[in-house]
Amino acid sequence: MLTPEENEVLCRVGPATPMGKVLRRYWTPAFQAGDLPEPDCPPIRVTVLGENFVAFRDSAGRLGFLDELCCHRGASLVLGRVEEGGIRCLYHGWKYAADGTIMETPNLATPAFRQRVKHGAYPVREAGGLGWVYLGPPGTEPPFPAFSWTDAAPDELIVSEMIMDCNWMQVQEGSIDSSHVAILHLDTLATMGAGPRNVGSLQFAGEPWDLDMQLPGRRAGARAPGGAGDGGGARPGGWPSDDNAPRIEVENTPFGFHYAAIRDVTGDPGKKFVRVTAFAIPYTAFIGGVASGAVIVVPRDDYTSSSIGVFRVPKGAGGIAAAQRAGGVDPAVWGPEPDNRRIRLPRQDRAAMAAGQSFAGFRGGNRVQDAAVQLSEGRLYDRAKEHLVPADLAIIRMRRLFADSVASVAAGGAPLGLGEGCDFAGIGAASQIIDADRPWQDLVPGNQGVREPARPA
Amino acid sequence: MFLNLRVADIQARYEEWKANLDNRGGPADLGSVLWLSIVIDNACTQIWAAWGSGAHVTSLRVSPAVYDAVAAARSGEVARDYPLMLLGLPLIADPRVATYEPVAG
Repeated sequence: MLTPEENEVLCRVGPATPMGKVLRRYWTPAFQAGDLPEPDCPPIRVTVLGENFVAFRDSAGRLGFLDELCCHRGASLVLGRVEEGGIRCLYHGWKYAADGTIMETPNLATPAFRQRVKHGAYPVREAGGLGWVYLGPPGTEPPFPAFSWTDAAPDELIVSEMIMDCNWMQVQEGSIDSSHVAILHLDTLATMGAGPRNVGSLQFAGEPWDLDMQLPGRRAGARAPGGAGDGGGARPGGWPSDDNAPRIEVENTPFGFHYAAIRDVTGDPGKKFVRVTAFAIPYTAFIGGVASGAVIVVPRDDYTSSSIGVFRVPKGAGGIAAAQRAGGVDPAVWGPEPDNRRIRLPRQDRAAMAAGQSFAGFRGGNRVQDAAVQLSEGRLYDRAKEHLVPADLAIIRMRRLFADSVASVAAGGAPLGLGEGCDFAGIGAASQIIDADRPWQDLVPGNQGVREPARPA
Repeated sequence: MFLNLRVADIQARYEEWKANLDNRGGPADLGSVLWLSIVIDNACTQIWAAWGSGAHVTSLRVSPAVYDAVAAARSGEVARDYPLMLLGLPLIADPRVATYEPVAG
């Protein structure tokens, strides 16, 4: 739980807020690079961390990321013309370069103003199918988080973004929460052929009810339980444990933390089933069972967030067309197209639930099920009402690191996890059955875990 | 030509603007925030460590300030006469415990 004041501090992201100041000290994945497909294409509005910007690609292919409103009279540059090395406001023709240089002021003949003043412009770079921006104080950019997939070509990436009308912390907490996986996502497990499972006194056999859904870590429509996405050693069916109360072990790392959810393996006491999740502060989770990719959660504003899945696939298998082909993505619910990314929850199928076919009643796979519960918490959940349990340690640790970062930045210091000297490309997750006495850290050596208990108070 | 704006009007408009800004989550007085995030992280880490060594944890001792903060945040439960609990454990106010050093017992 958090006090109401603490909840406000940790959830609000505007430029004047404590957490907003923290988040502006990291590179922020603000938009999909594919939304600006070619030089001089139409610009896009980007809302991130509670502010509005215009992003465009100039004639030379350079990305520009500017304050949205023209600094003359405040018309939106999203309406503007992208041409000849800049973006021109429709209202009075002021024109701006990608670096914020005011190139032309047709209704002000003298050059003094445009020579002395620049429009608000921010560092922006393209990597991993995303446009990353730095909104912090000039000259304080940290090392770029060059994850293992950020150097992939567009046709090696599937990027899928779901916009949700709730505060980003609700989504981020879900992305690192392992103990819900074998409960909320029972329909996924049933489709993978996991067999009957217990949730408390409920025994749920399920059926492959959501057959066309996206399975985590796999390409659309593929049914390969026990394959690479589940890590070597997982049995067919993908979930080798009936243990719904995993032991949680957390270690801080140079980029944030990683943790293991450790479950007994049904019928084999000499083994343990380990799911390792890594969290790179502040946006990116590497989730056990999700191969070659990550889940990124970005606050658009206090009440809107983007959950972005980035998956590296064989060359030629990526791109927007691949995302559109994704099984289980019902365009009536959400889709990869820019105007269809805001999820509209489907009707919960109570009949299928009553008939024992479905546990959650939401078709569309894990992301739709996740969205259903996260949106159900309201636009900005009041965590004073919650009752955390020790199994929530990853969520608890994330809040702690954010709280520490808020305090550090307020005191004039830097937030945690900026990554000086960190090899971001080595960060990984795992989902695997291993010998009971083998350290789980062996599965993720690139995470640079300290193999010590969490740091003391 | 001179505009004749009254200072009081400008001040009133500023106060209204500032109130709206604050309502949108403006600057908070961080000095007044009691960080349950830290208390709970420390407590939870202790609980897992205790469980790992085979210990049975029955309660959580916290400073009176933490106890009061939890009670204030959970006023509904207090009004219904429920015991205060944190991390699934009964909460005990103990003046010997520092704010950010809970004790799992």
